[in-house]
Amino acid sequence: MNTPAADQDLCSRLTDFVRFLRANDMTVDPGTVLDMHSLAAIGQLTTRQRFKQSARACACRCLRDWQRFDALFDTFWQADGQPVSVSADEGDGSHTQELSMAGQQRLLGLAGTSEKQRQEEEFFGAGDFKALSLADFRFVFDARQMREIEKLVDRVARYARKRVSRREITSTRGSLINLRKSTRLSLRYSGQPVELRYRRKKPRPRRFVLLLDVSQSMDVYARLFMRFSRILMTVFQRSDAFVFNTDLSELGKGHARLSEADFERVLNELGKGWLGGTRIADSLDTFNDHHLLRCVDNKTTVVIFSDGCDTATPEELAERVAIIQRRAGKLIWVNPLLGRFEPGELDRYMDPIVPFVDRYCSAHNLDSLMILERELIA
Amino acid sequence: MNLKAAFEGQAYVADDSLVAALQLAQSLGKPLLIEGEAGVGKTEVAKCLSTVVSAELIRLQCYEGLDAQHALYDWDYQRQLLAIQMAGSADPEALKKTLYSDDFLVKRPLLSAIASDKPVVLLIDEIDRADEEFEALLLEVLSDFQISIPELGTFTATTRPLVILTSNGVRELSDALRRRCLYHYMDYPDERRELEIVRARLPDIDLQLANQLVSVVQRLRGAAMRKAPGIAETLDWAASLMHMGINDLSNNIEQVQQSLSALVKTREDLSLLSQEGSQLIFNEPLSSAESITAGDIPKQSQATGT
Repeated sequence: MNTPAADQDLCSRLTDFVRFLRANDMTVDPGTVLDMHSLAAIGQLTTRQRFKQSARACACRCLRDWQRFDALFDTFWQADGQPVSVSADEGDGSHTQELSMAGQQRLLGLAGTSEKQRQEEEFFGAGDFKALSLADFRFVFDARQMREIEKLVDRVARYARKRVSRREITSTRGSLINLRKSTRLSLRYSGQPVELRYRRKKPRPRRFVLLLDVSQSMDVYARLFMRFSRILMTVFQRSDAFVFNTDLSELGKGHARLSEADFERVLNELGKGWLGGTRIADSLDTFNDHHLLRCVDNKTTVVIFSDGCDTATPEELAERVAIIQRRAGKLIWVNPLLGRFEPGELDRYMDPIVPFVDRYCSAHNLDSLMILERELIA
Repeated sequence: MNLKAAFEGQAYVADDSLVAALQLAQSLGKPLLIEGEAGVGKTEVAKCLSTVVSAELIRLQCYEGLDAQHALYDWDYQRQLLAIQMAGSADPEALKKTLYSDDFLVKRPLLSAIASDKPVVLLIDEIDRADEEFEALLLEVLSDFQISIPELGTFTATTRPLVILTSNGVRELSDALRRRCLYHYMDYPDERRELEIVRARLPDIDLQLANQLVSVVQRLRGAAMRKAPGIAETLDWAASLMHMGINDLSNNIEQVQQSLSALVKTREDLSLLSQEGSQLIFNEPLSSAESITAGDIPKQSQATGT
């Protein structure tokens, strides 16, 4: 049995541990702290292994926490136990240090903006959101900000699912009674309203086909679009996604849940490589030959995330795009470089293609990604 | 109670981390949220737990559009209507009291679990399929173990149910719900554990066949498939092979190809395996040289589950 002094020490170390977890970006609420203390009090934390497993079950909230917890635990509960900051992006400690607001703005590409905008951005909350939403993805180097952006991307993708049609449908359950249908049904029960019918908003089932360029020139955008695509695939279950650089690969439902690092590993194992060269026309050829009929119909929205820089001529690429556009309900071409260059700079690549796409837009920052979300659902 | 051994008795091979989480859920009286890919054995945890602790299993299968009327309680509208007609010109106030009483209350899974005076394991399966509004509705149940019915008052659990929530990660769950739960992530098992599971569930399986098929499944999980096979699929495939009288995959390639429909569940994966199956499946020697032999597995714990 522990002495009161030992108990006191354990409690104080537990509190330090929770503080350490919070410092490393894990959300640990007071309830969890109490849970851990009660476990210590009833003698459940008998061995180190047991303690680790129990603390993990209490403190973790999601897969990301779960994957990081062991490293954090081992770091804190080492022999001399000096807390060390452990980032989610292991092995790249250079980006984990805190930056000043000015430094963040510089990294976000916001230096030199107007005084009014600067004041707005310095204002906690809305300013932060706005700063992140305006930042070109390629300027976001800080791991924490990248996670924030990923969360916002997540929110944008999920918001798309919540859009429902104004049209209502009749249903056997719901909260608003459909009087006309219910009265009609009551005729078979001598006028008694035995069976009721309700009105419900009609959901809009969507189907997307996402074609994602993961060549070198897409670099940081490819990773974020990957995330956006993966979330869209989990939210809209009938969707399909493909990645291409020199060759086309289908992104299966299982792969949709892989982390970027794991996905990169899988691609490398397949010999396709990540961030290699680009052969868009050839890849679209493969798509048209093997997947177009199966995946695309006139209710499908096809989204191509690419900068259009190809080894084939733009005219050859335009031919492939035209085939997709004829079959799809809507074809959107998302070019992250569009927001980066002056109008006209990309024209030689994209001019022949643009007539065959229904919407040509940028998604270089979160603001433009939100506009894209509206395009997807429109 | 040794929970791990008890689970093994139910042919479920639980790892230490899961056992610790379940014991915590019992000690702290908090719900346990289990996340993981489809087919890794999340639902089975609740089923085994109910058997192990001798409690009734109440299951709420979640789906899009699930609402309070189907999860908490409902009033038997048709019987109420009949009662009104039969009452004729009786006292309206007395009638009102009768209409909103236990007699006309239809208890759905959540209320049944709260109102039960016997030990209960409540399984809220695939919570990620339900809408966010439904999650909000669950908060009161999961934190206070009570349900408020405006016409009758508040039902509070006399015996706190053991609650297991499962999620396949179709959508992100709210922080509020996560905060109220303990958490466990269930991943695909490694080769050794999967072999233990297969041998526990199918005790008659030939050891060489078990080694070979587990090795194939492990390899397929790393391949570019639309839906990676879960443990449930491994067991289905193993049972199919046993049924077909196959004891060695390498000598029965044609029959193995025919049995693959038990392992892969999409047209694309099936055609991939038909085209490249031999290469994918047999590209490495399937001998049991590096695999686990019967002696490595403890007799009793040749068990598990999905």
